[in-house]
Amino acid sequence: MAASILDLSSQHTAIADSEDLSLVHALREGSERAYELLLLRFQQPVYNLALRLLNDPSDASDVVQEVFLKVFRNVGHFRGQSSLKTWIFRIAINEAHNQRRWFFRHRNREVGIEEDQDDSRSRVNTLADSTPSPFDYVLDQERQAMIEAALTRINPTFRSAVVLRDITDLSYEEVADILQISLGTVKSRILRGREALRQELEKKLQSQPAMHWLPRPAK
Amino acid sequence: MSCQTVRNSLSEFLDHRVAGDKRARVAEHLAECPECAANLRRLSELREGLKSLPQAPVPDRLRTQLLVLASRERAHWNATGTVARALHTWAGNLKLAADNLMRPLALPLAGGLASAILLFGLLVPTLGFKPIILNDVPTGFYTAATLVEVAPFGASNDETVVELYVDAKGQATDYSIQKGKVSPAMQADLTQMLFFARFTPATWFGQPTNGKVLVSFRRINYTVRG
Repeated sequence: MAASILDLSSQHTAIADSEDLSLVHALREGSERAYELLLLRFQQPVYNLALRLLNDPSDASDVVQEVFLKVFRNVGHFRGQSSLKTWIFRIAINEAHNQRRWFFRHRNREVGIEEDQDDSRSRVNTLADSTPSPFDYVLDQERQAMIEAALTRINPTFRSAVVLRDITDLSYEEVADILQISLGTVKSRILRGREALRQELEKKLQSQPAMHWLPRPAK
Repeated sequence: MSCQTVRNSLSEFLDHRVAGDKRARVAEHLAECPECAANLRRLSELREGLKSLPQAPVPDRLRTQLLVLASRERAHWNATGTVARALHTWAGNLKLAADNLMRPLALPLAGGLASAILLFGLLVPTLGFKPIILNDVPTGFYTAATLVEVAPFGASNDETVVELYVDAKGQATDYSIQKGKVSPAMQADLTQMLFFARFTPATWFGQPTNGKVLVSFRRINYTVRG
């Protein structure tokens, strides 16, 4: 049974690889459809990753544009040693890291009016599914807000690993490939990241005794 | 297995990265240790919480910006790639430029042409084409004055050439002797003859005008025998 699952998994990976290669080939040929397809496949996950790492829609938008600019310009150098997704996510992680460094260098930055215009993180827009009652709706909002806030407070090094593993749902090997670290370091960062996140949430709950944090699986 | 060891393995255990004998020992410890089991439960809840975080949709403005970026980069890629691709791109750009140049002129030109054809078609029935007359005097040129009729004139010499000045009404106004000699008596005859002579006036673009006529008189002798 396990062997058959492994076979299916490797078959799926092979198909994904061939799709990646054909997409890259079409990009190199300058196919308009390939450019659209690349955006269609990756703009949402890259934006989510950037948003989770930076916690700012405006910064995330800037990072996404930088990522795709680099992808389009360097697609000729893509050799297929890793999957296209891994390659693009690696660029995204690096760009988010650069953006964060830039932010810390320019703390007194201006506040743009654009943030209000594209209220992409509005709770109504980002709600995963419609909850049956206003109480559940508020509870979901509170829970998500707490997790998001806790995520921003942990070490960025651990945050990257946790986001890639738990939110982007990548395997340990893919995380190692993206962050260009060893598998052992990935395990350590995920462990410490989750631990830090748990402590942050418990700290928050202790400061708000009336609030009970009850995470629920997504429906 | 100690609680510390299990705590360090919980994250991997949750992700099914612990297999075989080690997994069995961790599971055994979790069954016996409520504190470690609670830790695993909290970790699992945390993981579910992270997974349930909503996906923020890509802002519409960013989508548009990415499409513009893709279009620009594709154009740049095509323009700087191989020679064939660059030529293809330039040809495309040239065609586009020509289209953009001609498109604003196309409608006025077509409209103008159609109007011209329509107006010409309306005017054709009103145009009268005259038949071509072979002996018609071309009006676009100068025509010299001509002598129509003159009375006989008795010249003394063998040949006398007189230059006559004819006005626009066809009347001789003056004359001068170009060749031969004319006696005073002959001059009176000549004047009288010119008074009754008829001329066609010279024309310039169809209009009568002053002109000159050279008239040569010859003396003819008739000998009758018998």
